[in-house]
Amino acid sequence: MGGVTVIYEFPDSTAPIRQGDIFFGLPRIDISLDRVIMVNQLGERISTWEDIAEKGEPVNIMVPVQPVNAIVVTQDCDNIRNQYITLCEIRNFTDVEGKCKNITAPKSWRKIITQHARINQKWFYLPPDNNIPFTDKMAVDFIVTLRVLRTDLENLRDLRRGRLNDIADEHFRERIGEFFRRYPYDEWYPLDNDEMNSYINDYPEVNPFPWQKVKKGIPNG
Amino acid sequence: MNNSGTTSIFQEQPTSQTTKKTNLKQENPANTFSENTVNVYCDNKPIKIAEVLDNSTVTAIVDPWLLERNNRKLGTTMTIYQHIIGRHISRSEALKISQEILEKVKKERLKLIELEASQWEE
Repeated sequence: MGGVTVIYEFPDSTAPIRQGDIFFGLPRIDISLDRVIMVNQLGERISTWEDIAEKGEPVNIMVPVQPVNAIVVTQDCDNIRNQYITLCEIRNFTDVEGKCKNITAPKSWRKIITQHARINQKWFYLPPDNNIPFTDKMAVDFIVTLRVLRTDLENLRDLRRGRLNDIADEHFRERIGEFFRRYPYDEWYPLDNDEMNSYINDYPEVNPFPWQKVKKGIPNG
Repeated sequence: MNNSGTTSIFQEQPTSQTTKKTNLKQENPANTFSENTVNVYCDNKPIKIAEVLDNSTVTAIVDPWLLERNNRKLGTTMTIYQHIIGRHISRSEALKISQEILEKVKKERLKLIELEASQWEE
């Protein structure tokens, strides 16, 4: 895969950091609050975060960290003065959205990328591009965030591989806002009884509204 | 070591008894009062600063300096003691746990993707 540049541009390494900048090789830390490894001069100890939090003192810990691709989500006005810059991880599209796992037909891809991008807003689609390089369909995962010191990231601008062009950046900005502005949307509220019974077959964890009569044995909220 | 050679410093009203005590030497020359006995008057009240008695066991009291030193040790000990949380593990065990955390994260993500894929209908 890969192809002609569609939505990306390639700033100089001295250009300021902007929302939509794509970096390769930034640190993503994974921490387990059940098993926290503390480190001091005497060696390593393992504890739960609950115990550490109860004590209320800073500790040094050992955590796994791996280099990942990520995109700047902080707004431009913050990128020039904030202490930290926030990024979201970029991964293969099938790794972010499970629904795409078995999709091959272009028509199905079109459906996913356009129609479903409007209703499932936890990701932002990035097409392949040889110059980045993105060899496959990619997606920004809004759930996975990275926090980096602004000064550190400015010193690592050589890791920047490109950025979204103006049109893509406008969509990106709107999608970030929508993601953090989502509210619980109980989409089943207008379904009639038969439709609701069908819906519950697929989503048994859902609680029907008081005006929806469901089949016996299914909880009526 | 306390040889009972000290008495606690106290302040007492000038009483006939006090007067009587101070005259003990005169009354009973056999009592071996220290020649360093000093009576200091403060606000017209006699304050017995130091009086060393040689008759030890009868007047044995706790050495105040020893008591204070012991109290000080207790306070220092309480300050030094800190609650240590967690249990000690080896470096290799720590690295193993670290790797397990990474693998667990990966497995959970794959599981979620499989679940989402199974719910998708074309």
